[in-house]
Amino acid sequence: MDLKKTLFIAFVLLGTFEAKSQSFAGLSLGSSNNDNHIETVWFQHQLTDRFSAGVQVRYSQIRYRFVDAIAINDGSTVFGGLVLGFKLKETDRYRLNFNLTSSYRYLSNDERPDLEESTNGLELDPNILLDLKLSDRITLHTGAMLRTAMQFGETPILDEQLPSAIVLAGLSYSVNNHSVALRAYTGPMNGAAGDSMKYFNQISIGYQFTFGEKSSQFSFFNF
Amino acid sequence: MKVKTIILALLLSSISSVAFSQESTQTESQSIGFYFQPEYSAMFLNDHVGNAVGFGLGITTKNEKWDFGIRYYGRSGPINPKEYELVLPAGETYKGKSSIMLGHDHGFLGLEAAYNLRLKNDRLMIRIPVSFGQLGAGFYLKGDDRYTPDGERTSVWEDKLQGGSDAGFGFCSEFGAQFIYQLSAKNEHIHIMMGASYLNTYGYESFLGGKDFYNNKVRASVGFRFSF
Repeated sequence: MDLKKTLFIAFVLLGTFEAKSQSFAGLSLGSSNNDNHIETVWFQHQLTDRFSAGVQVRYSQIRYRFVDAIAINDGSTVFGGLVLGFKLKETDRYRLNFNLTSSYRYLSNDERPDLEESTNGLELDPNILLDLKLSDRITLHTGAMLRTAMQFGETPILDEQLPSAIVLAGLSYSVNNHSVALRAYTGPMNGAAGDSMKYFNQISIGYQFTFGEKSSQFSFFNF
Repeated sequence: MKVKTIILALLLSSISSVAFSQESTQTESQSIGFYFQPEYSAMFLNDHVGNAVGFGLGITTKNEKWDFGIRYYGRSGPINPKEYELVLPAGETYKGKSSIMLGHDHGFLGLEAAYNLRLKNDRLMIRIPVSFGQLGAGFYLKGDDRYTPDGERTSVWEDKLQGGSDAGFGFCSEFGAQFIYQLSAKNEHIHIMMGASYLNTYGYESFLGGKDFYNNKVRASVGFRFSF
């Protein structure tokens, strides 16, 4: 691709991102029965009224995860991925969203060096999410996450986690361009012929900053 | 390459130009609705009460009389402390033991249809759901027993110790009734739910569970209903 074409595409992309719309940036801290602690940072940009896209990076210290379908308790993971947000319906009181986070996973196995040093994987987190305004500042978030995960490498396990019945609940408090949120997940999981997580719990607290022209009274919520 | 570049430019431009041209709100009563019902269930099995977590979600018809969606719930091992004893055949042991205590779990995913019966009291509704789908359930090694003597995957040993059928799959049907009560007169979207369902399984069988572990059983549930 020559320089002119590269500049042309870069110009169009810049124009797209400069459209009058909101952007969101945030960070969250959490803990789950997979991980002792999880840190997440993200940036999300509203591309159209109904569609937003962004990036998310996550680091975690392992509590209980599986490598080659064998449980380990020591190691770390890094996730990097794309987040797509689709607004399905919105009124003054509520908004219904479908969010899809697709993350590449790198796992460093500090416990079992006889297993692969690192494990490459893919995690898909489709979420159906309801945002319901309880007051001007407080919003209730609830919905379902159908987490699916795959392990690649020498021992591929494509059903490491099958779509699971995970319920999520959260509350966010917003003032001007600032939001803080508490979010919890709970629900059964399955996959890898039973050699996987059987139940999932996670709780996290996050902060999000909104900038750009306000286009919706609801903040993006994917902490 | 030129064509590809032009198509990409047009695509990106169109994303820009349609931004916020759509209406940001919709009239609540003019469109198909949506429901989401997270729930906890108590499953009344032969010798104990199992705990399950799950949800139903889907769409509601414009007249709000019918729901169509999916039902998904699981009776996962970590929230069900009851254990089952697997006695091994004479002369056979696992890590030196002639009997092992096993955990158990179960999951159901199916299609759901429900009729919503509105009562004179605006805040109370009776919902009659019917669902049909697939059930999977099994018995598994727990704790240190998950670390197998030969380093093989745990599921391989679970299968070996239970005659090749540590888990089973089959179809499952449910029907029942739920009371749905609007929590606040000012907010028509949030309800509490309480109900019961009757379960039948078709084709499910496992070594320890037999054919009737989940067949001909009752499940009672409490939860919320969010509907729009």
